Amino acid sequence: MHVSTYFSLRPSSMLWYLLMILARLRDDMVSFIRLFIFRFPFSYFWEKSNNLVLYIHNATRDLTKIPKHISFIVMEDDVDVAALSEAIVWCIVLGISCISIADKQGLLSRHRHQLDRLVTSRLYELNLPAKAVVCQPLTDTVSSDTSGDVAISVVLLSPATGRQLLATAAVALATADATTESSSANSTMEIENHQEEIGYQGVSVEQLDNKLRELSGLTDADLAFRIGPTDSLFLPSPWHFRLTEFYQVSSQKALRPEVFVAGLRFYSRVDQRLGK
Amino acid sequence: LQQSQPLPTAGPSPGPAEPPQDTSQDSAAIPEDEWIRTGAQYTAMQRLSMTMLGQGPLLNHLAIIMDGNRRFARCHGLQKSQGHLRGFQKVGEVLEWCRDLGINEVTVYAFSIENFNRSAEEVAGLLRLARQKFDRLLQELDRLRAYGVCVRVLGNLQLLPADLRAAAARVMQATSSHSKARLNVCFAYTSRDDMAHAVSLAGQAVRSGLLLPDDVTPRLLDRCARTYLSPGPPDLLIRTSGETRLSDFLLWQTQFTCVHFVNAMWPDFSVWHLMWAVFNYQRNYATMQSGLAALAAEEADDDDETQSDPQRHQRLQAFDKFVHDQEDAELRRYLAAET
Repeated sequence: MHVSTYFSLRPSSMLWYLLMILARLRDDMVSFIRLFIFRFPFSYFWEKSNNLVLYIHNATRDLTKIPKHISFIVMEDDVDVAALSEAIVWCIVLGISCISIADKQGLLSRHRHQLDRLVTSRLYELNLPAKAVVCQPLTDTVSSDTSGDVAISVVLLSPATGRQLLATAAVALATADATTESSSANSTMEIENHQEEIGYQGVSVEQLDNKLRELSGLTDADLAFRIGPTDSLFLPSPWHFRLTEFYQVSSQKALRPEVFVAGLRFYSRVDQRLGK
Repeated sequence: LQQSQPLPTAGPSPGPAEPPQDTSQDSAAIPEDEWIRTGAQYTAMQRLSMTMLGQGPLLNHLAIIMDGNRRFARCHGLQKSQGHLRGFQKVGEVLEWCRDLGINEVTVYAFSIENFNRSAEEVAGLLRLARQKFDRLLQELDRLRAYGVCVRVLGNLQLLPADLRAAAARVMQATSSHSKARLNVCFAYTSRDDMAHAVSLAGQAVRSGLLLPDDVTPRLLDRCARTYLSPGPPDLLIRTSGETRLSDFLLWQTQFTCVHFVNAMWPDFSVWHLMWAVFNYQRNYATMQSGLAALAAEEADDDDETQSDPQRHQRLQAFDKFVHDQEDAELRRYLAAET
């Protein structure tokens, strides 16, 4: 029996749409079930606000490693400031010093003061020592020199600012004084339009790393919660997400303390071989 | 169900329907060693799924982190070298699936600069295997020509031994005029090295006066990254073996990319894994496109200035030529050093 390889278009299109709907239903059901399973046994413990701190400390007591920089990458179209401010508070409770939030439309910088207010009031509610929390876009950290004064800095990223950071570093390194360059240069470049001999050996990865750290104050992200449709992602900064572990969360509404703790558990179990 | 006719591909087919005459010199090579293969057999369900995927948005550029060869070997009681060999054989298979799915550009992460930290014996074995595979690629030049595949080896080739550098240079030069499909093999590559290289090129141009400092924008860095000849950034990135990190692969280029993590080891990667990944890309297409549009709107100033300022346009053209000439000179050096 000979089976035709050419199926007519219409059934295939309908099947494709059907599969899209089924996949979406499956994702929604899985996240609903997860929420239900997580919520019910723990609802007593963390509904009361002053037990949130206890919950997070108890749940993370046995973890072998805690990330130093946590990033939240929001792939949804709108930004839930309340949910994100709550997530910042969990990081502060845990003692994470570097927090970054990124959203794909770059809307967060408009809500920075609201984020500041919500985080500060929540910390007050939880009777935690008042710390200076500043939420600022990356462009502000690049142009300011006083990043060392702030106890906790939350950096707000958007797709364009990460890329622009590298371009800024490129210009800064290119226009740096030639005498500060490495003196062991043995490669000279003759460029067609210009006859001058240049002792410029180019930029090494370490030099670029130092310059970016100097400009942005950001360290490498260890753990990133990608919030939104499954598998969708953008990198808030091309440099700082080299070895970041990605943990999928279905939506900003699904961001709950137990999901946060699940992400931390996941991170502490991972064994990074670093190429070996 | 045996089927020898080619599949209906969603987009423009990368090559002729019939495979060309096989004038491969090495007739003793087994089919599993070939890079460009023909004659894959698909089940009816697989054919139906491929046709169905053709109804959704098309995938242009696929990037793959081929992880898990050693764990595969451990699970099956094989030597590590056997695991790597199976991994290389899997590449040929997957390239054929990509061709049948209409994916025109594939970038694979074959060897990272970090992998030099492995034992000397393993590194030597991997480089030896790579040399064999590049030589095999040169033997399949007629097939590469027939399918119009441009092969590029991306990475810091200075770190490789001279013979491997020359083989890579030979492959790149022989296929540089092909334009229907692209295969980028990242060898001795890390994304940070890629970005440092791009920044160095931009820096050289600024210091020599070829470019003004204001010309250095993210779009310019796109034009001097190692992937500067690719028509577009990766649409879908697949990592096998269940790890959920990017490990310094195409970080600059993956701005809005569907990143799909697969639990199977690379030698166990199946066409179903690939199709499910492509389907997830199609599901996220609208999200990704809106993000890319927002990014393009923010970076649009770059293009607007180029349009209105003819001198800037000339500078950028000169810079493109400079980048191209740098690479050509480097490849010629590697070829000359071997002889």
